[in-house]
Amino acid sequence: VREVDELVNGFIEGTKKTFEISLGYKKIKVKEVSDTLPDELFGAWLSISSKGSDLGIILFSDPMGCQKISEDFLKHQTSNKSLLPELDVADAMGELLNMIGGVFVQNRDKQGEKYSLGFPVFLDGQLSGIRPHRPTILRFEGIGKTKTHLAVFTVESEGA
Amino acid sequence: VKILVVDDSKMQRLIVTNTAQKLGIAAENVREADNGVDALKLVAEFKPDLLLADVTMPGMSGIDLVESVVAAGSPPKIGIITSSATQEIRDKAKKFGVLFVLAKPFTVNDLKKALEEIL
Repeated sequence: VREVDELVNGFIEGTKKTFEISLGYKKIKVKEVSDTLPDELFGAWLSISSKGSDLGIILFSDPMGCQKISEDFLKHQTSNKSLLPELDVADAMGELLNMIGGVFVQNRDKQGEKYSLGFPVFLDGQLSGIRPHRPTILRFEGIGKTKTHLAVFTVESEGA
Repeated sequence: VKILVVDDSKMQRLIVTNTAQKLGIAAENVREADNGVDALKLVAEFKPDLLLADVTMPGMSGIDLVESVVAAGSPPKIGIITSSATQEIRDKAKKFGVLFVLAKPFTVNDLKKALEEIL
């Protein structure tokens, strides 16, 4: 089983690429690294499976941050403010996380390592159904004025 | 030109639909489905000229959708837009005659270029 720390750089790259292309943020960097998840989580989580280990990633902010990120995603990709009433924050956060995971999977695939993406699950406060193991939490700056984080961890099912 | 956009993400469907309309395709000529089963029905009823499908969707995957559409005969032009743009997916797509595989995340210009080349 690979240590999560070995893989974190791939997810940093995925986060930077996704937010640069999808929202137009070009000066994103990791401001802080920690190992403790907050009690409340707003955003989305995604499982990424491989033969060696199951990974999980969580994209989270506060509720206002999730709203702002989702609005900026739609505005940047459509240049159409009239579409904002159709905004679905849960869907947008899940899709952004899916793309972050996708960049990781595509890059690993080029190195002959097979990973597959699960389905994003929206988080409205609580993380249930999984137990993150040894999480690495990255706090990013440059994603607008939001306090946005990405957590990377190995997954243990709650029954394990 | 009639387009069917298939993605379980509403946001992605909005982005693709909006881009298609910017290329001059009338709103009534763009339909959406959020899963492969509904998409199969729409392919039969709406008869799109172009099918744009995600790969990772609950129930029927985009690759299974494409396989079914091709097997049914007289398929529309097909493009894949996915976060799972691995070599395995690209090879399967090629086997079914898919015209392009666009990896997410993509810029609106990337999508416009892909669409302009086949429309």
